[in-house]
Amino acid sequence: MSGFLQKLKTEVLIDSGPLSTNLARRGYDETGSSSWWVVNHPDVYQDLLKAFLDVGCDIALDASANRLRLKRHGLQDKTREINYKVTKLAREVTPNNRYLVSVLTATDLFLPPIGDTSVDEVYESYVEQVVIAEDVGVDLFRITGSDIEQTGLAVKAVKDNSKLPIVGVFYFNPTPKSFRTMMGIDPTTAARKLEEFGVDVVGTMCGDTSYEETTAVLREMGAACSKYLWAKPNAGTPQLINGKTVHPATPEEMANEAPNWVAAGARVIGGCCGTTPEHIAKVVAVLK
Amino acid sequence: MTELEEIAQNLIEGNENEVGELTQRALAKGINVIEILNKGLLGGMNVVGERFKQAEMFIPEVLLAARAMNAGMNILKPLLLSAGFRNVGSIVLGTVRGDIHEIGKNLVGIMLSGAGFEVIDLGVNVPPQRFIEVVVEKKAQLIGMSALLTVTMPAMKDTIDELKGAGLKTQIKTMIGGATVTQRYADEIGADGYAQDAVSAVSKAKELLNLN
Repeated sequence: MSGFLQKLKTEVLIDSGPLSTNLARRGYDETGSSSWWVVNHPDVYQDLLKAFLDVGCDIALDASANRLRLKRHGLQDKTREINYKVTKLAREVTPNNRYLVSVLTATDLFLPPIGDTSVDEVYESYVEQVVIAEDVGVDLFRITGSDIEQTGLAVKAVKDNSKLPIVGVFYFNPTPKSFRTMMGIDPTTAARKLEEFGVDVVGTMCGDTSYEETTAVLREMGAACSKYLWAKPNAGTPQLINGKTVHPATPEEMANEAPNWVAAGARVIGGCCGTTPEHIAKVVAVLK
Repeated sequence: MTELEEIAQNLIEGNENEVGELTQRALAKGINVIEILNKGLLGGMNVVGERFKQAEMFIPEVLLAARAMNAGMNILKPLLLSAGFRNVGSIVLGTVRGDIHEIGKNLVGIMLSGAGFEVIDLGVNVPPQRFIEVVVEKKAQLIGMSALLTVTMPAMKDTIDELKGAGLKTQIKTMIGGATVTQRYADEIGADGYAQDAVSAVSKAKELLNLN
């Protein structure tokens, strides 16, 4: 469905929660590739996707996978199969008035001189994903990561193969010197570079930032660029309590802070690790 | 700036070639091998560690500095033994079973090498038995375990339980770390130490081996 960017002019849109922690509550053991698990448990994925749509999400939960990441699980030869399957599964249950996003995730590898993954390898891995997503039919791309250069390659991969809107989100952590990605990028630099690259929406997700810290990151990004913002924070830092993973932030806490994200310039609100349909439902109630 | 200060400064800046050349030059000038190691290379790496901890340097710069360190180390290594250098200790390092995250572990390895430890890095997804096998085989004193996910942390407990089972718990010290790991968890599972970051890992490792 077209008009995603148009919609942002007048509305706040709601993004889904994350794949991993929600699948974990439904049988995925969090080791191994979540995308491959989705291929082998299509019903669970589609039910989860629908659960988010049912509480009011405008943007559906994606399960795409990058070849270079799949390689770490020995699954690189299944890259095309996985991406076609998961995108079709999402397409099947997402109505026309909601948006399908295809996510180009961080490779978690380093380019030279630090690492030995080449620029071409990274670029091609993203092109592969974009081409498949375009073939099946999605509405926008979201690029995630910590590394400016690789994000730039992902943006290029999209622009070379698609005309769809592009969202760029970074993971930030609080440090003694305000916020930084793992690679040392602060929100101002991230926002500026993303705008330079030609991204349409800029944002923050995951990382170790609390709900309040997310507001601070958004304000900094908003001050540094002229784009709408995307907020997708974790539900707190996970803890292992009695053998179970607990994300401490509650739906009420998320709903409480969400208006501040909007005030800071966020036009898309979603959640990452630990965010359940219940969290999103409370946010929708407050914002809509 | 002295030769050794120049080495340190170039290491901090990640200038791999310069560190190599300057190390050669220092040797040619007759400067003591251990001095070059401690004041030049480790001198630089310690500054990098502190700056990383203070969020003044980040992963890319640290990794570049590590490469520069290796450039110098490769030149010094053949000469160190005869100069009387001994490793301060040996540690078997790995990301636990089920977990494939490694950046944090790699940084810890770099810092520990920089501090004079022999680091045996088993990589990722390391089962408990493997930690034990290698620590015994290599006669190491420490096991260092990393996990990024809460769901893989229990493998840390399994490794410590295996150590107990093998009667090695008092002989071999264990330390753990990772984004979701805490001191409380370390106490709960009987780990000897917990470190929050790569720099703290060095002091903790030294403490566990009574080197401070």
